[in-house]
Amino acid sequence: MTQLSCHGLSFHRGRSKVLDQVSFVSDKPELIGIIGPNGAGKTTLMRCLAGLLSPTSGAIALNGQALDRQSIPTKAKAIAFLPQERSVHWSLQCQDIVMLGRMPHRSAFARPSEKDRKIVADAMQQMDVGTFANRDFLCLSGGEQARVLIARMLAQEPDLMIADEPVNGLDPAHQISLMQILRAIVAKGTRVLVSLHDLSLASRWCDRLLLVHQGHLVADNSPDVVLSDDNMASVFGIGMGHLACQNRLISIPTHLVASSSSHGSLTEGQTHDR
Amino acid sequence: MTDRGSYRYMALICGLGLLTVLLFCLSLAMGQQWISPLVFFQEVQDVGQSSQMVDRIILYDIRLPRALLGLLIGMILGLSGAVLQGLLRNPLAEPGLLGISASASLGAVLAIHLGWTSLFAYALPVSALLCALIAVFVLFLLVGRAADILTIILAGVALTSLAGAMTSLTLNLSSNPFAALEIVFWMLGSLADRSLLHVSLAAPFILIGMVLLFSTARALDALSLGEDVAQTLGIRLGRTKSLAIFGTAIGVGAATAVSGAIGFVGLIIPHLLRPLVGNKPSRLLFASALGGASFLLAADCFVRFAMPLRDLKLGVVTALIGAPFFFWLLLSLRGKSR
Repeated sequence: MTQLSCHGLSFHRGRSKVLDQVSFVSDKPELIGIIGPNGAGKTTLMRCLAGLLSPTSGAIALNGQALDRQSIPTKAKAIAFLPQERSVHWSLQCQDIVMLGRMPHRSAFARPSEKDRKIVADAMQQMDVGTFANRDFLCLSGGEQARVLIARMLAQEPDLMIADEPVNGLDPAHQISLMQILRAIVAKGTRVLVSLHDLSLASRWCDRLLLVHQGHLVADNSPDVVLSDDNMASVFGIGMGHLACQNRLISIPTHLVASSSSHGSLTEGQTHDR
Repeated sequence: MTDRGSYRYMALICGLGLLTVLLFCLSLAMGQQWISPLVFFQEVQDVGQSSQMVDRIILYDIRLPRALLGLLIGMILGLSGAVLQGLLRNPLAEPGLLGISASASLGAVLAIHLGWTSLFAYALPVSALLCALIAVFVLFLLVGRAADILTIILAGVALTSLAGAMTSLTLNLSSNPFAALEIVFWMLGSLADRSLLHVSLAAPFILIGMVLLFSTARALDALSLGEDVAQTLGIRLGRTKSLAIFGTAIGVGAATAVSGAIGFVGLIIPHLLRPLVGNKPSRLLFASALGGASFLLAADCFVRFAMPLRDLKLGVVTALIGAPFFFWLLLSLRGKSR
C-alpha cells in the first residue's frame, strides 16, 4: 500500500515561518481535509506536498521515497494538483483539457493512444461531464469547470490528489456532489488531500482533518475530535453547533467566542496523537 | 471527436503549406519582369547570350534570396509570436517584446553610421547580428538569476528603450544626411536587394531558433492550465522559458539583422490562426510558422506589385495592415470581457 509521510516539514519565507515542524503520516487511501484560518499555511503545505515548493527543512516521502529525490516524470505520474485559481487560459475543448492529465504517461511527441482516450472518456464519465467532450471550457459554469478540471486529475491516475479549496465558489448541490466524487475517488484507492474553509463539509465528508494554525499542525485526527469546541475557540475564535446526521456528527460554526489564540489551551491528547 | 479536430488541423496545415509554396513561387516569378521559376529546371541550350541565362541570374541572385528570406523570416516571426503568447498566456505578446529587434537595429545603424558598410559589404548584417547576440547575452544573465518571466519582459522593455535611444543618438549625431537617410530606410524593414550570403548568414540562427521554439510545444499545452499545474504535469518550467526566450532571441535577432524590423507579423498571425486550431497552443506553432511565411511572402509580393518603381518598404506594409488589425483586436477583446 502506498504511503505519504511528512516529517518535521518547515517552510520559511524570509524570517517568517510559514510552516513549522509539520509531521503526519497517511498509510491508507483516505480523504484528508486541511482546515485553518486564512494565512495559516494550508496552501504552502499543499504546494510543498505537490513538489512545487522545496521545504526549508524536513522530509516528505511518497511511496517510500523522498519526494525531492524523485524524478520530475515520476512525481508527475504520482501526484495531481488542483490550485485554488481554476483558470484555463485559452478556450480549449474539455476533452483536450482532460487529455492534458495523460501528459506524464505519454512520450514527448506521441499521439494519444486508445488507452489514453479510454481513460479520458472514463474520467469524464465519472465526473459526469462525458457529454462536454467537444464543449468550450470557458463557456461552462463554475461547477462544470471544476468537474472538468477534476476529471483532468483523474486522467492523471495519481496516487495522491491534492486540491486547494476545490469547493470554492460552488453552490451547495455542487459542493456536496464534489465531496461525494472525492469519496468515490478515495474508495478506488487514491489518497485525496483537500483544503476546506467550510467546516461543516469537512466534518461531514472527511476521514481525517489536519488543523493548521500559524504554520503549526495543531490537531490531526478524525473530524469529531479535531472540531472540538476548544480547538475551534483557540484557532478560529468561533463556537460550534453540532448536529447528528446520517450517522455522523456534523459541526457548524455558530458564533464568535473570545479567542485565546494560544496552543496551550489545546489538550495534549488531541494533538499529534495519531 | 478528437479525430475530427485532427483532420481539421491536418487540412489547415496542408492548406497553409500549399499557400506558402504558391506564394514562394509567386515571389520568384514576380518583379519587373515575369520569370517562370521553372527556368531552374530547364536545360540551358545556348550558353552565353541566352535570355534564359539572364533569367537564371535574376532568379538565382536576386529573387531566390528574397523569397528564401521571406519564407524563413516569416516563419520565425509567426512561430516566436505563437510561442511567446503561449508562454505568457497573453494574446498581446510578440517577438519585439524582448528587445532583440531593437538591438539588432542598433547594430545595423552603427554599421551604417561608422562607415563599416563601405569597408566590408556584409558589415551591416554582421554588426546587427553581433548586437543581437549581445542582447541575447544580457537576457541570459537575467534569466540565469531570475526565472520570473515578468522580469525578463521588463528587461526587454528596458533593452528596447536603450537600443532605441542609442539609435536616435546615432541619427542625432549623424553629420552625413545620406547616412541618416540610409539608416531611416534600413529601419523600415525590407527584403529587397539581399543576396544568398545574407541568407546563409541568417538561416543557421533562424533554424536553430525554430528548433528551440518547436521543442516547447508540449509545455505550452500544459501551461494553459497555469504554471503550478504544468509543473505537476512534469513540465520543467525554467527550461521551457529558456527555450522560448533564446529561440526567439536567436531567430528573431538574425532575422532583424538581415531584414530590418518587420513588425506585427508575430502578433497578428497567431491570433488569426488560434481559433482555426481549436485554441491549442501546441498546434498553433507549426500553423503560425506557415502562416507567418505566407503573410510575409504575400506582403513582399504586394510591395513589388503596388509600387514596382518606388521601393515601398516591407515593414511599412506589414505595419499598415497590422496596426488596424491591432485596433480591431483590442475592440474585440474588450467586447469579450463584457
